[in-house]
Amino acid sequence: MTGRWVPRVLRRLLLGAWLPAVLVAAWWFASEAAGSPFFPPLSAILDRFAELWLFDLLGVHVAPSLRNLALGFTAAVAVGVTAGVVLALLPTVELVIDPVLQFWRALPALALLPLLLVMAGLGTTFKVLAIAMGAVWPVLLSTIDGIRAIDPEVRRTSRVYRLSAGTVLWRVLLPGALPQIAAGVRTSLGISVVLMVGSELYASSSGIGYFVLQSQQSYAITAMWSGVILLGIIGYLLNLLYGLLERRLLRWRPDGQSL
Amino acid sequence: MISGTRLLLARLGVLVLLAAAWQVVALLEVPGVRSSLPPLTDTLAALWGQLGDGEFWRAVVQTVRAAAAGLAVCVAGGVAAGLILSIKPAFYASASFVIDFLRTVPPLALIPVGVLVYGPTMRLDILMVVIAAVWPILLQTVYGVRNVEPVLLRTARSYRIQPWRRLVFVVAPACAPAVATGIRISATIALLLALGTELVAGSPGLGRVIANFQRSGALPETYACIVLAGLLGITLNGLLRTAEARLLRWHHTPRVRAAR
Repeated sequence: MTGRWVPRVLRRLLLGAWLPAVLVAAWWFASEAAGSPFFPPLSAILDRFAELWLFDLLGVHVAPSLRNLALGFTAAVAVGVTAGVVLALLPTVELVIDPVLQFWRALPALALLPLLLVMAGLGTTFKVLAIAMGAVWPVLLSTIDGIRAIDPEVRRTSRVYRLSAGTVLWRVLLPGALPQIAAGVRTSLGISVVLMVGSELYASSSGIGYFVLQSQQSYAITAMWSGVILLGIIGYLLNLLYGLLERRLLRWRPDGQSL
Repeated sequence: MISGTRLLLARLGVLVLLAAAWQVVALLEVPGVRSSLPPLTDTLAALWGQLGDGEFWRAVVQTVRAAAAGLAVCVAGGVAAGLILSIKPAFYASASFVIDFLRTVPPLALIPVGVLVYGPTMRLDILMVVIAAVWPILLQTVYGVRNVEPVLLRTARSYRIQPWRRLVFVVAPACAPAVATGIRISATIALLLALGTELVAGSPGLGRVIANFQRSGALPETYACIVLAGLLGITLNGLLRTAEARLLRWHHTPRVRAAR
């Protein structure tokens, strides 16, 4: 009978679910009772959420936001991994330009927003650039670290077998550095979301961040909160999806885990 | 492998090359960057001017104070919460969804809400910093406690050392490196959020200065302040690393540097 494991799974589910349920209930009742204009009842917020985001404004705000995020993030990963591989294989070059890298890396990504706005003007380019320029660093640095961390024996063995450069890259280096790279990409994803919202708050005429700001400025408080919740959900889902992807990509490793 | 003086010279060479490229591109008025890249000389002059300007330093102090205050709250709250959650696995299991959800909410998304409640003030900065920067410390604390050598704990228990003494004298020192890493990561996030909040919401600090310069078209000053913001980040990071190395010199476990 399946009676054995059912209680255990159920117990684990309850264990993970009771606290969120309690907190949501607390929010519900507290906001209902408080009557504060800035913290409207959760019921009202959820109603507005359904009105706006299911499915009217999806195309108007969510699609541009996610599109910019996708473009910027993909660019960051592509550039980061490529440059990371190059720099890892050319240690002298990496040493020499290290001060420049360290400076760019330490520069708070949000501080670049005014600069990029001046260069790219209002619009999609500005936002995509902002996301890409901020998100490239974790990927770049962890790619370099990951490739460097590969056992030299492995590199020497591939030379003994006279593997072609392409094979070495695709079958040896990248898989070997994958856990590190995956960890860096995960951080990049977080930064990308922050910059997506940040760029939309700073200077934009579309996007969820812009919607939240505009709602706040026109005192459409329930709409504003619905946008905030939407952003929270998007952030969580993206992270969740990436976690699943990561686990799948790293399944072949004996340790099975990323760092 | 290149090293020593040759490395230094090579690095200087790269910097000189970049500086020259900047100056040339700006002066040539290459279409596309013509209106957005001021000459390096102008930027350096603006930088020098800023360094001598009292307003600038006041703004820097405001930013650093907001970040530091927020970080202090994060450390106190994060370590306490992390320790509590580590008492029993069931505690962490209960909180794990909430933590995972809350830490992926983009903190900047809450700025409009914060502005309504606090207005563009330092309290807003601190609130944003706390919301964003508490997670690394919390998670690192849990991680550190989880990874305390079981032998240490068992020994302490077999000597019948009371729980609170175990906490203070065994657990806390053992997870200090993990917590220190968390604090360092959180500090970077704290500075980022302080600057970001100032940029977007206009609360007092370096971020607001940069935004104002950009909006009034003072390009050299904008660039100069951004560079200085970067230097601020590097300085704070360096200070934290030195403090960490100094304070944790007694720790015997060789640590792998998780974050560069």
